[in-house]
Amino acid sequence: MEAAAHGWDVAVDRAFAAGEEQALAEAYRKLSPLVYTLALRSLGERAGADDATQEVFIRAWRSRTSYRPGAARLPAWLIGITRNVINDSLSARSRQYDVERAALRLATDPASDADAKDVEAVADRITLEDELERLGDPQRAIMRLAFYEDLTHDQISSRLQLPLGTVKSHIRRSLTRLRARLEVEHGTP
Amino acid sequence: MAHLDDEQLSLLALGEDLGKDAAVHVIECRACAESLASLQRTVLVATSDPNTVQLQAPGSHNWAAIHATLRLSPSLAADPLSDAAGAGAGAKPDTSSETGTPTPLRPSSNKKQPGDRRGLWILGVAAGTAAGLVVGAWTAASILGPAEPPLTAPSTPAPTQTEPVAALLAEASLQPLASHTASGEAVVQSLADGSRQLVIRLPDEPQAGFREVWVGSSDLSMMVSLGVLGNQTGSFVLPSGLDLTQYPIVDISREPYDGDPAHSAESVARGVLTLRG
Repeated sequence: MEAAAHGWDVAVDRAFAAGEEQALAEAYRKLSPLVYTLALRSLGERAGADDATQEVFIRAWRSRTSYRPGAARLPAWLIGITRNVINDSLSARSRQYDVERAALRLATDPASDADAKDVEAVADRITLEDELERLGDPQRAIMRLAFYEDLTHDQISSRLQLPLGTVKSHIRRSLTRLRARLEVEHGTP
Repeated sequence: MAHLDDEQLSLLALGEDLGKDAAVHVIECRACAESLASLQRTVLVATSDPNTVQLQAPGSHNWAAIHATLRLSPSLAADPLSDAAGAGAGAKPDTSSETGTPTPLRPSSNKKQPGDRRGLWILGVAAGTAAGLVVGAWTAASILGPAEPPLTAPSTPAPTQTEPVAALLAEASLQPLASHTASGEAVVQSLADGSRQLVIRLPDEPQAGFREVWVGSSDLSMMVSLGVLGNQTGSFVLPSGLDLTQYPIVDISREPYDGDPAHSAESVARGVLTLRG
């Protein structure tokens, strides 16, 4: 399972930063359905989602020199750009008083609200996965056991042979940090 | 009792049982309840199950636009989504713009049991490895015939409607050949950055194999393959060095899954480009 958590090939991150076009194609292959679906759920129409999808990958490529493979995985970085592009698009729209129309379109589809939240959750989870990576061990190992194996802090303590207080303190700090990352991602204080 | 400290709230958010006093306090104390709720949302996202989330693949004109705008290498002209699908299963996904095929992140038969949160690798799915599955599922849908209805009603947009400032360079009507019946059209457009793309519309016929788009010389002695045509429409970047006056024929072939890159000699439709402007 540990290995599986590293499903994203970091070589793609490095190749992208190095300006290899193949890496952009690879990122598109793996992430464009998520980018497109996020945009479609947020913007409510295909033409807008098309524009946003194109903009995300164009913007990403043009700003690749500011991408640091060590600081974030490419999926998380692209999700961040996707949020920016969607926000830009929404604010451009609200200037055109178009937002009600988008809301109206979405309102006609009762499933789309729940879908939008689901897709958001997938995107957020990629963001959190990135933050988990950055926690380093033992924090990362502790949080994985808590999240994905449902172990209590007692069980984690004996599994990893760490003092109980240490485990609890790592859980507190890590969870707070993950929460902060989500807040930053969504622009809330 | 006193407020819960952050450690206790974190453990509660993770679903640990800290006893009755803590449970009661967190119901009665607004400050603690709010802290807990925000931590619980974080746990919820971290452990959310993306299996049931359906994704839609963007139409191939999106990659065409990205490819053209960034002037990427001609070797990367093919939509990476259709590329991967073709390499994997020998079938091409629908690359037309009007059908965003719902893409389960994982087959629903693999759904986790309730209470089983051991699903870390799923993130891999969403973030990377799993994307192999994304494309796989998408491909499967295209092999199995008509795709499931998209989550939102398709509006059948033109594949080029979001292209930046496209100018018409040439066009052709595509006439059916031999035993085939579908007719359509081909358009060559110049994009804002000077690159050119060929847009094909040709209804698919229920036959084995897949359709490939070519441009060729008048006598068909020289043929250049531009890629695979999905169900109805597709757009293809024209290599910048390709002179359309030397390759005025647009030809759509039906290709068997035999791994042979050459033209199958079975053309389903053909047309001659008329240059404009």
